[in-house]
Amino acid sequence: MSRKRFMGLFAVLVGLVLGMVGSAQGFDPETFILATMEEIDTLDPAVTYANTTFRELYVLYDRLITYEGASIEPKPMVATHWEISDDGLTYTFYLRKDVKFHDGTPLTAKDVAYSIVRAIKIGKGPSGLYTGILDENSPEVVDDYTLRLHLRQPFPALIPLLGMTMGAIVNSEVVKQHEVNGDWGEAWLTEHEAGSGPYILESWERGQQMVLVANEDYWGGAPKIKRVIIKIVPEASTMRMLLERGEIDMATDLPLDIILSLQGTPGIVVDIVDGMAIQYLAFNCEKDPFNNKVLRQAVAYAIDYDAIIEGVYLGLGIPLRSPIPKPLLGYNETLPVYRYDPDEAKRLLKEAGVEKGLEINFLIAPFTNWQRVAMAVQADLKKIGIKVNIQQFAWPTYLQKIFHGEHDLCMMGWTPDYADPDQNMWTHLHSSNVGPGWNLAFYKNPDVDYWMYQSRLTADPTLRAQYLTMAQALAINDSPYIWLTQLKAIAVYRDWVKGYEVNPMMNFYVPFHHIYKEK
Amino acid sequence: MLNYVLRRLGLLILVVWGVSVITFTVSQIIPGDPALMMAGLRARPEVVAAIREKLGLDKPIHIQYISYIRNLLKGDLGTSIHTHHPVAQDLKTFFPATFELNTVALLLSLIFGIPLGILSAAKQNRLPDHLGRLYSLLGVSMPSFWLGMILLLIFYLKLGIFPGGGRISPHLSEYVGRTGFYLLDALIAGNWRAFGDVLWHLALPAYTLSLQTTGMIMRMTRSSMLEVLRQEYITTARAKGLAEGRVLMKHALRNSILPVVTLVGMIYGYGLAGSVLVETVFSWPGIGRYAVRAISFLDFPAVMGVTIVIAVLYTLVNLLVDLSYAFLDPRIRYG
Repeated sequence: MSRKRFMGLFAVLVGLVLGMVGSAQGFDPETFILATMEEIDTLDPAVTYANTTFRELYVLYDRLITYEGASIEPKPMVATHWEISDDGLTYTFYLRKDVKFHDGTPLTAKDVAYSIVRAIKIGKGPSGLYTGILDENSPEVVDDYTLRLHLRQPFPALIPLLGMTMGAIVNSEVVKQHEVNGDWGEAWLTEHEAGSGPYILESWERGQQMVLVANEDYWGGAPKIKRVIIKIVPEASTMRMLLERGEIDMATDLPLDIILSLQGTPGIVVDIVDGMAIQYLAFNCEKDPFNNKVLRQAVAYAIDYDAIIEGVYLGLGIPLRSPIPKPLLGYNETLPVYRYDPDEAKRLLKEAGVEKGLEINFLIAPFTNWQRVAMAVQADLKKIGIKVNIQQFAWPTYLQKIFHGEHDLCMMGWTPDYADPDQNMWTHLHSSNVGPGWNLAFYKNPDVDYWMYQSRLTADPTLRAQYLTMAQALAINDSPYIWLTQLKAIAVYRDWVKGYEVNPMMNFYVPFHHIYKEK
Repeated sequence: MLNYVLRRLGLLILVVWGVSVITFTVSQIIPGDPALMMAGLRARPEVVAAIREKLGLDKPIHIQYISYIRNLLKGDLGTSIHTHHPVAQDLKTFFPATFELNTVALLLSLIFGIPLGILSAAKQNRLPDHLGRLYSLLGVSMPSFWLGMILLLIFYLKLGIFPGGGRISPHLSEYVGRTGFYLLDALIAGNWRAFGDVLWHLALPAYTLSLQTTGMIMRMTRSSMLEVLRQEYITTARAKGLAEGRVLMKHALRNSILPVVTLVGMIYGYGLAGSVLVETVFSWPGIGRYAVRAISFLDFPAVMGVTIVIAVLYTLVNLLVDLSYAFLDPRIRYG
């Protein structure tokens, strides 16, 4: 190659690169880019149980009920109002008449009924929330805009539950058209949507991004943000750089240390509010040695909770005494809470009659925070003479083991799926839920079961709170779990994002249609 | 020649079969319930049981294997447990990204590695050689994860002249996606802006990935060149008055390139499976990340699919390398 030709080629390359630099996009008030580390699995609301997917489903579909802003009070959405029969077994919903699906057909009661039956028939994750409460015969279409639900047992948490993505209403006609071999349209809805929400799915490149566009005919008004891009950024440090340069509007899933170091950075808002995610350890109450209540209490006194909240969760947590986080119904500050008290721990250990040299297996999954907690617990228990063997397994293996009670002690985190204490209480403490039902302590106490059941029989919040207090008091004394902390909810975004309020329960979700961008 | 190729292709089937047996056995031994992962936590027990039956998980392992192979021969790799999507389709989505990245990275390593190697050999123990060796040492010893981070920090965060990851700018993504090879897609669409944008996105990750291999290729070229340069026919060439450049390029390089070609084959095969760290740093939607996620979700159809595809490619690349020997060295004949 002659020198002249070489120089020519070089000039072209330089020009190309410089041209590209200029092609970076400037501030666009109508496009919102949110970065997440987690890949979206499936868009079918009857299949997914992943927070990262709930985020998209929440704006693609409407529900009978919704939550607004930072409030955890259920609000009307497609249902303008509803009536509950005195026995708590019949719910009648009156629907808005101006809701249209993305294909233009009106949303009617038959779509709501179909969506509920569909979830139950498919029977995957989300349907677990209806077990024992709704079945395929529950929905009754009274007329186009009136729907009645017949419950199998009273369930005062039904309204809060229907406000979540499990209550997403699918376009029954469209889904039926795409049904293959009686799959209720599952294969099709994995990649597509059939909703009526403020956003419409435009494109999805797995592993890269999902693009949603505004539904200009939305009954609640056209959103100001016209395009939402959900960008997959698997590395936290990369995501941080994207946020610092303003290339993304919001960063999610960042680890706590990065979040704290972003505080005070000009142009970036770190919004920290009380959250509802809880972190805990579960004893195996069914087998030796933790079938001994006094020993469980001794361990509960031996843990330095404040050190874990400070050291692992960087101070972004508050003490927790039961599965009910503040401010859900039934949260009660007068109930006792285990605090770090090594002397009491040693006294109880003696009372428990435990011989010297006790060894226990503490199972965890390979998450950084869990590893740190495990090491703190190991050090704390060593002080009272209990040797902790930490055993780490990949997530599916871990679940298999703890569901079958192979642990002495294990760790778990939990965020309530809807704003009612019923789920957290039943899931963790009811004897019918041991093992795969997530009662990982294999805890069975008929009295606790009784009070929880009572709390379902009434809709009166004061009475419910009293019954739940009874159940909590018994469970705190039995100490089947070590309730480590209730975490803060955090949102990290650019300061040009306006009108966003972090919801303590749903910090995974962003109501894109209620926010806007302004410099 | 044809015979040889056919024999090698037969061998390929054997290798892939062996790989599939091992992967299948290992993925079945790991405790965990794929049916539960597929149904989702809190799914109804009878649904989990139904899925288990549908996937054939209740049958003995050899029966499961036979039915897997039977489906494989029909081109059906099964459905991913995590993405709820046919594995073949997933591979079509994620594989081109890795393939494109590794190809560009390999080209970069060749463009830098071979000339630097030649230069090093020609100027043995002088400044260019020392600098070249330092460069290759740095390249080989720097962890790609860390290097990628540093490059992003400087060229994206501080200087803003390269993008912060991804394969293409969002506003140009309509021009790509047909084949999954974005450079090719942009060419087919005839959109130079998109083509340049894809190159621009490729620059940092490809360079990160290439640095290590550049070092290896350079070292191999250098040592192989040095050996050849000591041969008598090189002295002859110089004695008959050939220009040094002609001696190096025409006489020495061609005879010292064989070991480099072998190395390139291995690097390529390795890169297809081993670029996961670079993919993570640069938000590159590649097969490495897909595989890691598949493993952590016990997604055995996906793990099998990835393993088999990579095994096939690795063997094919090696076959190509062996065949290229015949072109490079006329003394080598296959029959």
